[in-house]
Amino acid sequence: MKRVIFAVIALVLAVLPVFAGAEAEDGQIRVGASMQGLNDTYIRIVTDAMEARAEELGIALTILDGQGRAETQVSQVENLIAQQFDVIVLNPMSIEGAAPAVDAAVRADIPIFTLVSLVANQEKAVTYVGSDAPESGLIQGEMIVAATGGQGRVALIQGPIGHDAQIGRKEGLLEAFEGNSFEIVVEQTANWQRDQALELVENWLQSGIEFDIVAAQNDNMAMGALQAIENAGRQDEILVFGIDATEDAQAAIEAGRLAGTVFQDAVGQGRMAMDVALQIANGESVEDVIFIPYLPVDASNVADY
Amino acid sequence: MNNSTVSMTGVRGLIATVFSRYGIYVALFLIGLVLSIASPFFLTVTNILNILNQVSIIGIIAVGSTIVLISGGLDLSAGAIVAVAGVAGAHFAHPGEYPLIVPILVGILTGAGIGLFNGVVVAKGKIPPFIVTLGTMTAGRGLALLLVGGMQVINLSDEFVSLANTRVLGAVPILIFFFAGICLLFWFVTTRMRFGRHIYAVGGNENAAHVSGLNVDRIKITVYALAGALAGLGGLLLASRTVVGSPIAGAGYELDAIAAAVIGGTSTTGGLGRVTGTIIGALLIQVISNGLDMLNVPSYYQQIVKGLIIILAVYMDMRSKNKR
Repeated sequence: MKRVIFAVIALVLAVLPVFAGAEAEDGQIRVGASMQGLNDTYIRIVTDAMEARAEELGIALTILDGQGRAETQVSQVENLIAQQFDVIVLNPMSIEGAAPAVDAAVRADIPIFTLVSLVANQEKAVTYVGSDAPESGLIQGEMIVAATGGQGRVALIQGPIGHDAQIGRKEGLLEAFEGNSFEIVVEQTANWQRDQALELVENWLQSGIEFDIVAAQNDNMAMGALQAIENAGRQDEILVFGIDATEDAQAAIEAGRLAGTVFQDAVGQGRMAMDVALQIANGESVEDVIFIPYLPVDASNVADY
Repeated sequence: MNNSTVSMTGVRGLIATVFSRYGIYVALFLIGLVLSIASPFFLTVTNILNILNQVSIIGIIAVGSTIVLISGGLDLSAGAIVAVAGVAGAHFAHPGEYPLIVPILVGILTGAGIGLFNGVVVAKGKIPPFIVTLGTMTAGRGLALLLVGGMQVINLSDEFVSLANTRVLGAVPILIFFFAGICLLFWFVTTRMRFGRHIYAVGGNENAAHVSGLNVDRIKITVYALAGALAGLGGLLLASRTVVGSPIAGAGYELDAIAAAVIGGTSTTGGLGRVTGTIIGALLIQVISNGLDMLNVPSYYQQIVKGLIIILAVYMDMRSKNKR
């Protein structure tokens, strides 16, 4: 048993340096980032862009995976503080849960800013780099208005209830619907998951509830919904809209299957985060909020993305 | 329980016996009845086919969980295997690259490989299955993400997509046939084959099985490998059904599969359980979620109902065992 334990420890020690990230050279700016979860495709693209931009700017960037848990992110930020990083980037999993991380950094006098999503004590952070969650719902809603002439029965597939983006995107959608005659006939969460959305729409199609528009709060769920609709042969009666402009959603728009999606600039957000980190480290002042705009994507402009 | 005890305890005893033996069927019937009244669209041929289609993948995985539980083990890694096998299979399923058999074999064998690892560590390492499969569940999730760099595998061939999306005779989803085939196979294995009886023997009393000359380790390893292969098949079919190999697919499937087995009367302490019970258990969960979706009931209620049914099922299981 002892030998096994030693073998495991040796293995861990051997592998660790590979993941430790860039060692800072003298005078190099050290930026630590705690991301909400690297298993998310979108966050993955943001992170890749951060790494690429950090390399261009000569920043020593350390990325930590919060694994979808706010409490993990709090301890990660505490560790970054203990290692005296110059700037900390926080991409919080939850509005409330990750707030203590900002408090801890402020106490230690290390600048911290949020990326992609917000925290409850946002006013204590230096800035926010990201997009305005209601705006993507608003743009999705405006696309639906334009495509339908301002009326229809809507089935709404939402992210996890209580998630920052779920609340914001629904707000934006309803705002765009104001003054038009839409009715949300059915709504449910599919937790951002494609298989759950597929099953949900299969059940709705069986239920006798009639709808002509599916508004999904991300493309993954939109693709699941689309598939249920196509399997039932109802694609000519129901328009499906998503958000995110993922690769397969764009392909589906090109093929005339998906009616529209909203492009959130993951690469732009990741690159901007590093530019802002450099400005903060150099003592320059930055705006309280740095928005990266959303853009509507449909058959007319999908080729540009 | 014999006839004399039934007559002694009277009608109440008879009802109790019926419930502990057939409670799950009664429950499914009652819930189906309520839903048929609540929604005129519930009890239609298309919706029944819809439910059977939806239950098939989780049902296939649940058959694996059932034999592991019967053998006295536990498999928490099924959901992670779904993800690993799904992305691994999908990787070989791009149009015009490999014949369809390649992704199929890759998916099933990936699952079987992880299951084999579970079995060897449980049997030879004498580490509790809860710990071992918790470990492979965590590592498997990481492996799935690592294999694809956190991205989804898209651009899958038409043949691969039709694997789980074909409708036989234009109406009956093909997944139902996969599920029926797996159920028939494992019903035969568990009730008609010597290996099946050995699984019950190991789960019922491991020492006795060992003393009577059974190769307990080999039986356990085979059971975990089979469960892994079934989860791998499930992952492959899920990738085909959703037209994407996703590293985050199958979230929570391990618990749904275990729930289906337990609701279907499989004992959490080994030695008892039936494939037929698991089919009904899985159907019960699926019918509830289908019905509540159709009635537009928020999903929180679905979770609460599912949780309570699991507890109730185990409670009835314990009661019926205490009587023996």
